[in-house]
Formats: sequence, structure tokens, C-alpha cells
Amino acid sequence: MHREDDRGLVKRAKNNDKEALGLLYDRYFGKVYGYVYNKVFDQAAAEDIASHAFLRVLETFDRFDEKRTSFISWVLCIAHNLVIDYFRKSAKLPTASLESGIEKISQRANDDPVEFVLNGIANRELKKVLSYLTVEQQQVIFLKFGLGLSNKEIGEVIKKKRGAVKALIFRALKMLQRLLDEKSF
Amino acid sequence: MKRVFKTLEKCIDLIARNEAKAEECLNNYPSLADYAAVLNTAAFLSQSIELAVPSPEVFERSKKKFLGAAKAEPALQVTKKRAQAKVHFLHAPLRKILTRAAATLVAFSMLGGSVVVASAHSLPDSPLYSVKLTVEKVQLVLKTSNYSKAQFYLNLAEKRLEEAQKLAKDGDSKGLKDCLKAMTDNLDEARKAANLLNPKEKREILTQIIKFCERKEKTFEVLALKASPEIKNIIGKALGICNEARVAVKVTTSKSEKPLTETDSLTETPQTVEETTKTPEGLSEITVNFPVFSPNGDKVKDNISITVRADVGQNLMADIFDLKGNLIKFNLVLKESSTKQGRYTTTWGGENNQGEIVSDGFYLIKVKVAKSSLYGSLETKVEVDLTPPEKPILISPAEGWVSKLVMARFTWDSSTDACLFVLEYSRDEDFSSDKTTVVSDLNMKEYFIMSDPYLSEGVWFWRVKAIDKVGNTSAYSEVRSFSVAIES
Repeated sequence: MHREDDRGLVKRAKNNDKEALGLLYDRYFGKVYGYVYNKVFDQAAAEDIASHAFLRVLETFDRFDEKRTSFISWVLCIAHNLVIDYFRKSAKLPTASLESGIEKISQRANDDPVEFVLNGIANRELKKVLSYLTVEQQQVIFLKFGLGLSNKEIGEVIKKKRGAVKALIFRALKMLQRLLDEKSF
Repeated sequence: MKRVFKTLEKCIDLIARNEAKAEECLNNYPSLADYAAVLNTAAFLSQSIELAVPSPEVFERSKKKFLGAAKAEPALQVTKKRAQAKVHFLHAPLRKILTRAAATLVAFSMLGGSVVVASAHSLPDSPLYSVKLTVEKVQLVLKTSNYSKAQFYLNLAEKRLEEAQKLAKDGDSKGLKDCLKAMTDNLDEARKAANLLNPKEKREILTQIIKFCERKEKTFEVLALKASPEIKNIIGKALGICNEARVAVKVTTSKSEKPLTETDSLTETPQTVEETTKTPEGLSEITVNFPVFSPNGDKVKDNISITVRADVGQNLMADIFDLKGNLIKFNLVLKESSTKQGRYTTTWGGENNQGEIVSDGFYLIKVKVAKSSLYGSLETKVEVDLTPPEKPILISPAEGWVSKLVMARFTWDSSTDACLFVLEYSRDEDFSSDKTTVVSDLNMKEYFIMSDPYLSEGVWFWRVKAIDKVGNTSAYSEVRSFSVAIES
């Protein structure tokens, strides 16, 4: 079946085409929810923030330029800002930047974000090696292998050039590979 | 080598999206043999990192909310209202117009001819001024076409400006303000009426507006010289309307299929306009040294330097507009470089015509020949950013954390526009300078220390502030404490 590309959908959605809005929602709500959950570790908050991000889309659609930015990276930027607002308002401590859905934790074990990563990942080896990456590397690894974003889209989310994202991913992969090979931790 | 990296990137993308396995990539692209381990790691990650998914109930509930809000999205409603208003205007009953005209004619006759004549030169402080305004209203109602209405509004604008000049001489600032506001409103009405005309008539009216603006440019400058900020704002708005007219004339001229001929009933012919409105010649480039700047007086990117390349020997000026087309700052004189021929420069410190610093946003820079009305075809955009980044949110170490080693890893999060951070850690809760270490220019959201004397046993306090790309600095984050207590 033909899959309409995002640009076409966005163009229609900007004219309040409900079918296009519904398709964009179906395509990306799960990813936005996953991204937010990874930050807040709370189902209710993740639902609230992801829903809010999509409502913000409606409010600011006229300012969105689909020729310059992809829809998913734009919504993720909105969601990211809402997450920051959430922590600021609730004075809660942000959790780690990377978490696996394999083992969904419902509460924070302690206040160390590195420990959150360790709690969130089921695979023991992965748990250990990820903690050796920088927060920025963890973030790109999550966006790449958790959300399946392209390097350009990741760059739009973390405000870096595509080449820099590529380098970050490559360095992170090299480091992970070395650590996994050594198994010395 | 470059090709191999491109292939590697492509393969990592496929693996990340679960569209290929590492072995498939290696089989298809033997050149990647050296990177087998990297690809295997990528595959391991793409299988191990799973995304938390919303439950079907959450998905549906949120979707309903989203589509419900889309239904009530205001843009469509506004459009409908506008459309209705237009239809209403076009089909307004003739009877209603005639009734209004008749009523105003009665009012006109009741005022009496001699009173009307005497009121013609009255000023706002005169009791006859209200008579003058009533007569004008009557005259306006009797204008049947948008063309004659537009001309009449322009006429009124001129009258109000003359009154303003007289009041300025008398030192009547309240009257001056009222007259200038009325002048600006009339100018705007003339422009709006022009927009309802066919292209040829529209161009004629807009040209008359431009002529008015050019004739009165000196008057505006004199009035604005010692005026209050409020009056300066009103004059700025009038100049904005002048500029909109200039831009619109340019657009209608370029769209026009047939140039106007001498037989066209123009009050002022386009030929006359051409004589007084010249575009800069040989304009090949407009550049600014900073695409984003912050005119906040901190000496970091406080102003921009605008450089233009054009044919030599021209008197060039730059005007700054906001994205709505309002003229923000006009007549910045571009000086020709003494070392590089045909290179003209000026600076803009983010101030408007009233000398106030403009708000955050994008601004357009256009170049014209001094005293002309047409801009060169090139323009450039700059951004004014005065908003500091959000204060960073501290992540680790947590409040009260106790390290059993001489080490600490500081991490924090921040809004995306922050690009540099300053970390301070101190023995003193008030961060007095003698007990505080300041780590500046950090471009990562983390910092690691692990040795004496930088970190010795005892209680430590720490905080972070963020700096964006134009030097705006956030407030400090909260202060957290931690201890180093080495086990013996």
C-alpha cells in the first residue's frame, strides 16, 4: 500500500485535514510517548506530555516549515521542552537519558542517573557499558536505535550538525564494541 | 574511504530501523569487513533497546483529544468569519447606504454654510473643530467608490499632519499626538482602500501614498526629534505604512502585464516615480557578521555590521523591517570602505527609530539609494535574541550524595539553545570567591573531577549556569551539596 510521505501529510494537516492529522498521530505518537517515558519514567506523565506535545503541534503548525525540519524531530523538540517544564514545575529529578523498555521501572531506586540507566536496562552487559558513555552519546544512541531517527533528524533534535551526530554515533559504537569485547567490567 | 563511510552510515541506518541485519550488510558490502564489529554492536543495540509503548487506551484517548482540538482549531473559524464579512460587504443593501448618505446630508445642511467654512482651518482646541470633523465624515460617506475614498483618506492624512505641525509649534503635545494618530489612521485607511482596487488603480493610490511620505519625510523627522516615545511610535507606524506601500507598488509593477501609458489617468505617472525612486546599482551581496546577535550591552555580539557590495559612488542606506513589514529603523547610512572599492558598511545595534532596543525575533535588512523609494533586490535576515537560556536542571550528584572516593561526576540538563556552561563548586554555600572553583566554557552537560587537591574530603556545594550562542547567560541552577568521605 502506498505510504504518503510526511511532507504531504503535513501540508494537508496544516489545512486542518483530519485524515492527515490522524495519520501523523498514528505514525508518531508512539515514538513521542517512548521518548518522553524514557525521560520521566512515569506512565501518566508520559501520556500527559506526549498528548500535550501533539496539541502544541496544532497551535503552532503555521510556524512549522516542513521543508527545513522533519515532523518527528519538530514534535520531539516540543516534547523535550515540555519535559523540561515538567521537571521545573514539579521540581522532580530528571532520570537518565537512556532506558530500555525491556524492564520498565516504576520507581526510582535512588538519585543517581547512572543507576537509572542500570535499572532500566535488562541486559547486564549493556547496563554496564552504557554507563561509560557520555550523556550526549547515550542520547544519540537512544534516538538512533530506540526511535530509528536519521542522523539529520537527530541533529535537529539535539541541535547538532549531521556530521557531528554521525561522529558521535560512530564513536559511541566503537567504544561500546571495545567494552563489550573486553568484558572487563 | 569516503564511500566506505557512506555505506557504513547507510548500513547503520538500516540496522537501527530493523530493516537489515549486520550479516546482510556485510554480505552486500564486502568493503565493510573491517567494520563488522561496529555493525554487530549496532545490531545488538537495536535489539536490546526497546521503546516504552503507550497502552491502546492511552493511544486512543489521546488521539480523540488531539482530533477534537483539531476540529476546534481557530484558523478555520477565522477564515470563515472573514469570508462572511466579505460577502456581507459585497452584498450590503443599497438602501442602507442611501439612508446613511441622506442622514449625513441632513446633518451637513443643519450645520450651516458659514460655520462649515469657518471651521475649515480650526485646530483641535477650537470649538469649531468638531464641526470640521463632522463635515469630513459627511464628505466621506458621499464618496461612492473605493478609489475616491482612498484619495479622500489621503487628503485627510495631509490635513491632520498640517494640524500636527501647528500644534507642535504651540507646544500642545496632547493635540499633537491626537492629530498624528488620526493622520496615521487615515493613511492606513487609504492603503486598505487601495487594496480593494484593481491593480492599475491600486498602483495609482499607492504611488500617491509614497509621494505623500516622501514630501513629509522631513516633517516626520522634525516632529520625532523631541517627541515622546508614544509620538515616536505613531510616526514609526506611519513610516511602516509608507514602506508597505513601496513594497506593494514594487510587487504590482512587477506583476503588471502592461506598463501604464500617458493616456492612463494617473495623478502622478510612473515615469515621475522612476525619477525619484532608484534601486541601488550593481548590488551583488548583503552580508552581516553575525546572523544572530544580542544587543544587551554585555559587549558580546551587541551589534551587527552590515556589508553591501554595490557599484561605486552611490549614496546607500539600509532600512530594517520586522517580518510583518513594519519599518523598524530607517536611513542607516552605509559608508563606502576606503580600502575596498564598492564595499559599503554600517552597523546596527538593535535599536528602533525611537532608540529603544527591539524585541526578540527576525528582522530584514534592505538597501536603497538614499531618499529613494525602491529597495535593491537583495535582502538579508538577522535574528535578535535577548532571551537567556533556561537555568540548568541539575541531575547528579543528588543532594546529600556521599562519595567514598575522591571523585565526582557532575551532570545537568538544559534548554537546547544553551551551548556553554559554567560549573562552580565550592566549600562555601555562598560561593565566596576564595573557596570556589569556576570551570568555564564547558561545552558538555557533564564534568568529571577525581583527584586532590581539586576535591578533598568534606562537604561541597555546586551549581551551574548556561550561556547561549550570543552570550545571554541564564540564572544559576539550584545549589546542591555532596560530601567526600574516604573509607579508611
